Amino acid sequence: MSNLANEIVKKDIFSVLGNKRLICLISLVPVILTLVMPSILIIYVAKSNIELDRFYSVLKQPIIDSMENFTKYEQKELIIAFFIDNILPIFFLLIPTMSSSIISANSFVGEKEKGTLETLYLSPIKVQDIFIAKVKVSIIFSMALNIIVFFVMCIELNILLSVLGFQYFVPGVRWGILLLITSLAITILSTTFVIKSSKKSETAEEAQQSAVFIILPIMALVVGQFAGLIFISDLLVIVVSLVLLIFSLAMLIRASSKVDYNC
Amino acid sequence: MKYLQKEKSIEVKNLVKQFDRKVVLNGISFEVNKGEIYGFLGPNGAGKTTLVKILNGLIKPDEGYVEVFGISPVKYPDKVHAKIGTLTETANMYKYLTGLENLMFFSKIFGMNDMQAKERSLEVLKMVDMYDEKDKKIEFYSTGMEKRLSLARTFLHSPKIVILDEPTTGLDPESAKNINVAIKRYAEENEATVFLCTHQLRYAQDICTKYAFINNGNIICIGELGDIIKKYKFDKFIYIEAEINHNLEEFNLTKLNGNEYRVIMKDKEQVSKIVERIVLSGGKVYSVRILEPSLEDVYFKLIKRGGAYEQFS
Repeated sequence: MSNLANEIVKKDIFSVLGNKRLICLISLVPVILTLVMPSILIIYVAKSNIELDRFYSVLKQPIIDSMENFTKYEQKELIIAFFIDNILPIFFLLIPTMSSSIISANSFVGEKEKGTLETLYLSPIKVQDIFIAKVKVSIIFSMALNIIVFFVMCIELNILLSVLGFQYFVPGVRWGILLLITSLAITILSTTFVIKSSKKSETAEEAQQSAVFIILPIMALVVGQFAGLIFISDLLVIVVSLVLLIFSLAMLIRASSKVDYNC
Repeated sequence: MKYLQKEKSIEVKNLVKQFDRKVVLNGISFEVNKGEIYGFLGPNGAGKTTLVKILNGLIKPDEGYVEVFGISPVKYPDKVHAKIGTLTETANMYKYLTGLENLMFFSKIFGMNDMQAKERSLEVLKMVDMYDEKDKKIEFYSTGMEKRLSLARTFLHSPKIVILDEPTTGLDPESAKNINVAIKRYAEENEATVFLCTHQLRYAQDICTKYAFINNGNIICIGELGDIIKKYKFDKFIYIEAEINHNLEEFNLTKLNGNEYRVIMKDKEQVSKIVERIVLSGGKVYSVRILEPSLEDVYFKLIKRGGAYEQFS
């Protein structure tokens, strides 16, 4: 990508930061999913009389077998740990999907709607470099949002867990892979889908719909986790994340080679 | 005698473009020489905007050949964009930025550093008389102000070719005149070539040195206005302001407003005969003017006729 295209990256970053409506839109769901929902669940589990047998069908067999050996306190900790270790991570796949689709739709199709994309096309920057600049902005924002929300969530959850007398939450290797590799791959894929579909899309909202192809498998994962159907080991997370990253980069390279002034 | 070949800024040969089944450009050919202010005139839907997009490499032609400064915009659009400045009806600027911020952004896109970008942005703002509005956001600009700012953007990198697609459409007469003045001044001071696409003939006539008329994808004629008038034998008119006491049927005078009359001019002798006849019959002659047909007269007659293309060099 040419150095001149970096001016587009800078301009788009300031444009997103200055757009309060857009910032609210991309922040709302992450806040609900990673701060509000976990807090509600932890407080509910702490204050209620919930026992492990009510989670019977959701838990792994070894835990079910030795269920009667756990104290009530330990049972509650297990329920909370299950939620934090198996459900919350999936939200950190939803967040970059959603934010990257909003940002890339706004920065590409949104500019097309307003007629400013044509003005960029008249500049001495190759159309492929304009495309890559827009993808960069989407990745920077989505990854930054994901990581910031993660750190805020860690602080908030640990304060809550400490106040309620539970063990601290310490993110493991899986979280690192998820935040740095899996979510990057998801972001690149989601952005590529949205910008590719911009040729046919008349509005930014229409372009965002193409990210549904990524949201659907993630939602299936959430349902699968709750139904106890899917158990994902750390090794599987690493392998799948790397494969997904390679695939997403290949899609991006292919999309950028086919981009033209009709986008 | 030394023969000087004119340097070509734009060269188009047998250009064809079709959208679905509609032929928008039907094998058109023309050349724009360096330093010309070339008026490419035609009604809405004639193919002007399609041609502008092809010259900028935003659309690929189906057939034919096009070069701008010897570079193919089909193969190297970014290289062409570095050398030309283009204003279109649909290429807008960022509404949430001020006039100055917009120009500084586009200056940097053209390779200027921060200081150069600011200096040049202020310079072009003065060129288009928009210096006082530089700190206002575009969303608060009128249509005329937006067009002038777009023109300023077109001039930012001092291009040697400026391509303008309907720069005065939608503007009041004063704003349109200001745009014309800015274009002419830029062309003179920078020895630039201007390729002006418009259907607003009176503004085109103010600044253009050469014309091509296009209708339904076909070029009707090309040349300087005087040559077109001569070749197609367009009529000149004699306008007389006079008090006429007797019937002067033999001269076929057409009465216009008040004491003004008009007749097709056959030769210079006719002028003195008419004046003599009016005075001798007791009338009074206040003024006599000989007027050539305007660009509008020529354009409407040729477009209606849809005649065969001829070029006058």
